[in-house]
Amino acid sequence: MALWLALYGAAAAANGIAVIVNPDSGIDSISREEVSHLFLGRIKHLQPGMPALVIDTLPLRQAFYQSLVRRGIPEINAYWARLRFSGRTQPPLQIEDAAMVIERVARDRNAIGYINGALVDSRVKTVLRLED
Amino acid sequence: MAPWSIHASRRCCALRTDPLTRAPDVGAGTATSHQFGASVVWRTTLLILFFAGLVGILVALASTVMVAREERERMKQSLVELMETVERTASVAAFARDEQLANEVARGLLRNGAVSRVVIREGENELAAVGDASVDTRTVTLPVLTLPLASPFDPAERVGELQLWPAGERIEHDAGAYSGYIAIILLVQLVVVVLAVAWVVLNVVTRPVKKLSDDLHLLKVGSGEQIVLPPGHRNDEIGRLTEDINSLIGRTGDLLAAERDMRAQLEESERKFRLLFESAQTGIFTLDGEGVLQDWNPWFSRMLGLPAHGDAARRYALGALLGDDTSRLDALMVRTLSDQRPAAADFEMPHGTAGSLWLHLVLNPMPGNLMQGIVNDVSEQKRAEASAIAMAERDPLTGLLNRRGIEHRLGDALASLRPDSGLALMVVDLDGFKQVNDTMGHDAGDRVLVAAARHLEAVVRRTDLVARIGGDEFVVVLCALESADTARFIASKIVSTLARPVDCGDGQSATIGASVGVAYTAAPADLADKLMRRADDAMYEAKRAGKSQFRFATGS
Repeated sequence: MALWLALYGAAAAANGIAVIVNPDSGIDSISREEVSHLFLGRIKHLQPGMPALVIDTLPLRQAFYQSLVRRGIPEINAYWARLRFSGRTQPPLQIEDAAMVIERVARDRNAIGYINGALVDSRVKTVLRLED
Repeated sequence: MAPWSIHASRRCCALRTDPLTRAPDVGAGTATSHQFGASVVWRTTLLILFFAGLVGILVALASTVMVAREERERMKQSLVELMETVERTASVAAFARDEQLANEVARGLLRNGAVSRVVIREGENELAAVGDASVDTRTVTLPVLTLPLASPFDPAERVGELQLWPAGERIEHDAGAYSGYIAIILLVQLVVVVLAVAWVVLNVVTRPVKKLSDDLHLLKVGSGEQIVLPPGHRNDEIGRLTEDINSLIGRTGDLLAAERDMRAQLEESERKFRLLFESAQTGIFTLDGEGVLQDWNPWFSRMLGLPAHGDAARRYALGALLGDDTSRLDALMVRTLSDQRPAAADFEMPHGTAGSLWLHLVLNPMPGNLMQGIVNDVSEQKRAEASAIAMAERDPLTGLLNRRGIEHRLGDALASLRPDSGLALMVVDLDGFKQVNDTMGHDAGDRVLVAAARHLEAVVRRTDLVARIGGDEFVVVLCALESADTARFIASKIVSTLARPVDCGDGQSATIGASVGVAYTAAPADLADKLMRRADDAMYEAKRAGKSQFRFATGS
């Protein structure tokens, strides 16, 4: 399992992580900072008036946050633990499978997620590619 | 407190009761402060308490200020630490723009009593603001504390700030209470130390010194008493002071005794000298440069009729007392003072009804233009001298002047001759006297001589002079004659008178005669012996002419 994870991670790293949104969202590209603000709850909307649906892909979570803000999962968890106490800012929805993430993003115009770059298909639009 | 002290203060109070009850408006404070100020014990104690209290109050004030400042600083530090404790959470709240979390943090901070208001900002956005916004942020208390909040993911990115208003009144109150507490501890410590110092000074220094002072004050010098050494001070300065005082007392006593002895000796010798001075049968006096008497002894006052003691109001001039009209005393004083050597002179002063007093005066110069004098009564000597002189100039048989006597007086008579008058000198030689002497004896001859003398005296005036200058040779001097005629008349009267028989005693009588030579002059320049010779020559001429007659000298 560990070996698989390592291989998977290596493969993901090789293809990069793609941040994806609904093609109908009207968003063509998004900056690295905006992505981090979205995933850490600082920016709460993709479209005016509608709360953004932010989705974590569990197997890629470590690589994603490491690449984005250079922090480990325990730190990210601790951060969310503080915010969850207030209940106003919600952490990203956590989904196990990349296919389900794609399906969810394809369904919702306010959704944003990330998947292995190799798995991106036409149902979603890549707005940022994290190489590291 | 020692018994003596109690007695002293009780006595003081008892003494003060009376004036206080009589004059209540004077106030008890005057008496009390006087009493306190007079005692070294009270004064030292009060001074120690006063200065220590002053210092204590200053120290307490200074420490209050410093402690309050320190306390404020400490509180500020603790507030900063409090802010740093919640910094992470506040950063998260600011980063996530989470008002809920921000409020949670702010309320948590506000729960601290030293915090009056908390504001958490995200950019211009106020995420949370709790506490009393109307709090007056006075500058005297702590300023508003501001902590910048960085992004939890990028320390370089500033996402907001945490502002905290310290609770001024609360901090002041706490700081004041703390510094007050410190001040009370300081004051208590100070009071204890001061009381200890005062007690030690009182018992170790002041009270022994006061006891020494009291003992010394009540000590009778010369009675042999000594000061008692205060117990426990044998080896320190107070012990040394006591020993020194005692040795001084001893020495003073010795000095006093020596002085008493010396004074007694002095009084004794003074008494002796006074006795000498007062009982001396000599006048002793002092005189100033103007001849005014200053002191004199009883003999002097008796002799000169002065009071026994001098009187400052009266000035007795010695010259006036002596009846010195001719300023001989002044000359004597001048000589004494200028030569600075003793000088002496005799003075005759009228005394009693008829007599006179002869005083021998010796003046000794003294410092300060003064003179010391000695006076002796030399009246007896003077009288003896005068009578000796008189004896030497008298003929013992007839009582007339002798040759020396007439020569002595003739000079004076000539000298005092006035221009409009003349003087006659007669030499009277008895005729037939040798025969009386030979036949009837010396006694009869003496009687004849005495009778002739009485006759001559009877013929002339009292102011004229009669002398016997040889065995039967007499001289008569007529003074102050208006003309030679008077002399002629007197001479003839002498001749006729002496021609009568003379009673020689034993029923016998003798008849003699007299040959008289007269020399007359009106010139005072004439010498006595020349006049005498002329009269003598004229007498011999009368003898040759047959005796019992008179002849005028040629040129008279």
